[in-house]
Amino acid sequence: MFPTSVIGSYPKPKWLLRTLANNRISGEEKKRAIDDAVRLVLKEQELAGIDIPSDGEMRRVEMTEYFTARIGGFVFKGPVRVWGNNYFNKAAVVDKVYYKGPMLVDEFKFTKENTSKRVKVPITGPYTIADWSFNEYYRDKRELAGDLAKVIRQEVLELSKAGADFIQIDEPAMSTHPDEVNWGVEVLNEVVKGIGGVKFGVHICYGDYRSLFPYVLEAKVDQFALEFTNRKFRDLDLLKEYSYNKELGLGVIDVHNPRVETVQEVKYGISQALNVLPPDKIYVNPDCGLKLLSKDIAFQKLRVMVQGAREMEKEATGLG
Amino acid sequence: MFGAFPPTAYPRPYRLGEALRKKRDVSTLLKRYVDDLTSTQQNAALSALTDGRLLWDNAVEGSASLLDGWEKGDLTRFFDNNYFYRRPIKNALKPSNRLALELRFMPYLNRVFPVMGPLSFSWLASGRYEIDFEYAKALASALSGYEGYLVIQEPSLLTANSVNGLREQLAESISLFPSTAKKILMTYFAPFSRLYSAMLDLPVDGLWLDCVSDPSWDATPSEYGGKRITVLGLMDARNTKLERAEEVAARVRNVTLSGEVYVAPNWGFDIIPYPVSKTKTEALGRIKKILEAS
Repeated sequence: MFPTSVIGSYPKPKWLLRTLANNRISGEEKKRAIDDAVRLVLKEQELAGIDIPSDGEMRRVEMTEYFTARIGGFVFKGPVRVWGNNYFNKAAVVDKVYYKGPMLVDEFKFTKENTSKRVKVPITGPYTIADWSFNEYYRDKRELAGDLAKVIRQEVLELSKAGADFIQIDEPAMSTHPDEVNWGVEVLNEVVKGIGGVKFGVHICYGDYRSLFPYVLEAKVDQFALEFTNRKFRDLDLLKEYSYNKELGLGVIDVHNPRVETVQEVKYGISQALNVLPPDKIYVNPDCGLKLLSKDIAFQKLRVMVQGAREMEKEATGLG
Repeated sequence: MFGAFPPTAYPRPYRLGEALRKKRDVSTLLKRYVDDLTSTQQNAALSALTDGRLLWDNAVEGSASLLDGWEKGDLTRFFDNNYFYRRPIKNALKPSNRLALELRFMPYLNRVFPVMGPLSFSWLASGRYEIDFEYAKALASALSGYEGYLVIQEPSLLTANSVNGLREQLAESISLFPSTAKKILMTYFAPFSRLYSAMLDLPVDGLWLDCVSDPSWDATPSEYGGKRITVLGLMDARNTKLERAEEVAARVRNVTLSGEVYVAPNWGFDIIPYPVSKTKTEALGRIKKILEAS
C-alpha cells in the first residue's frame, strides 16, 4: 500500500558535475562517471526505502534539452533563463521532426541491471517539448506536437521492447494553456495508443490544475503524478469534484524548499488524499524532480517521505 | 510619425547569470553588456533606449525592488511561460530611493522604464483581480520626478473575467504615477481588441499593444483611433523566428492612426537567447527604416 517513488531527477553529485565540466577528461571517462553516479543514486533511493526508483536523470541536463538534442529537426540557439540564474538550452525547430534512434533505452537497461526494483522511466511528452521549443518551421504548436507524438511513441515502443513497464510522460506545460488541454490530451493518447504491458503515468506540475479538467479524464494512462505540497493539498478537491478514479502520484515533498518535511506532514498529505481516493490508488512521491536540492536534503526528504508512507500503511491496515 | 521601441527587457546573458549565481562582483560585466545593448539599439536607430533591465529577475520582482517592505515567496509561473518569479509577499510597502541607481545606465529622456501595474501586481502577488493601491502609492512615490517613457504593464487587464469597477480604479491608480513621465499602458499575452475602447479612456499617453496575440488586431485601432502614442507589438518576443521587415512594415502601414506610432516587440525579450535578441533589435531598425522611407 502507498508505493513510494520519485518523479525523476535527483541532485547530481558534485564530483560528477566537476568531471562533466572538465574538458581534459575523455568522453569514455565521463560516461563511466555517469554510470557510477547512477549506481550511487539508485543506492541512495534504496537506502531511503523508495519502492520504484529512477536513475535520477544523471544523463540529462534538462528535461527538454536532452530530447531536442536527439530528435531530428531541432537546433540550439543559446541558453534562456527559466528563473533567477537558472538557464536551459532551448532549441528551435527548424525542420520537420523525426526519430533518429533510441534515446533512453541504454539508460533504462543500465538502470535495470543495477537494481532489483521496478524502475520508473521518465520521458518528456510531446506537448511540453513543443511548448518549450521555439517554432520556426511548423504552422502551429498543435501540428508540431502531433509530429513529436510520433517520435515519442517510437521511443516508448523501444523502451517497452527493452522491458520497461513503468513509463512516466512528463507534461508540465500542459496546465499552462487551458485552451489547449483538449488537444494536448489527444496528442498524449497518440503516444500510448494500443501499447500493452506498460503502466503509463503522466507528471504535471506548477500550473493551474483546474484547467486540466475534465479533459485529463480522457487520457488513456494509469496514473497522474501531481504536485500538491506546494499548493497545500488544496487541489485534491478538484479530483473529488470530477470523480477522478485513476491512480494518483501524490506529491508530498516540496522540491523548492530545503526545509525537510516532518513525517506528520507527509502523513497529513496522504490522509487528505484518502478523502478522495481509496488507498490502493495512491502512490507517494515528491512534488517534482529533486535536482535543485542538495543531495543530503533530497535524501533526507525521501527518507521522511517513505517513513510517512509506511506509517500510514500500518495505520490503514490496522497494524499501527 | 513612425518609430521603433526596444523591448521592455533584454535577456540576462548566461555569463552574467553565472557570475550572479556565484555571487561575484558583476559591475564590469554588467557595464559591458549594457554598452553592447545600447550600441545595438543605437545602431538600429531605435526611437528610445533601455539598459535591458539585466539585473531584474523579472518585471514583478524588479518593480517591487523599488520598494521596501516585502519578501520573496513561492516560485510561480509567469502566465503561460516556462519562466518563473518569486511571488512578492507584502509586509508594509514603502518607497525606496533606489530609482537613481536603477537609471544610472539609461539616457535622460528617451528611455523606456517598465513597471508592473497595480492590477497585475495584485494578481501576480496574491491571485486577486483588484487594484493594489498600497503598491501603486508606494511605487508612484518611488518613481517621483521620473522623466521618460514609463511602461505600466497590465497583462492581467486582459485575463480578468470582468473589468467592471476595475477600470475606474485602474485610472485612479495610474493617475498617481508621476505626471513628468510619458505613461504607456502595456498589455500582452492575450487579445486586446475587446478592451481597446476601454483602454483609450485610461489616463495614459499611449498604449503598447500585443499584436502577436491578437490576429485580428488591425481593425481595432483603425475603428476607434488611438492615443497620442501607439506602440504596436508586432515582433514576437517569445519566438526566435525572425520577422520579415517588409511584411511587418506593410501591416503597420495598413493601420490608420494619427500621432506617434512605434513598432516594437510584444513583450520583453526575457526568454529568447541573447544573440537572437540582438538580431531582432536589428530587424526593428530595418522595419523603422522602411516605414520612414514610406
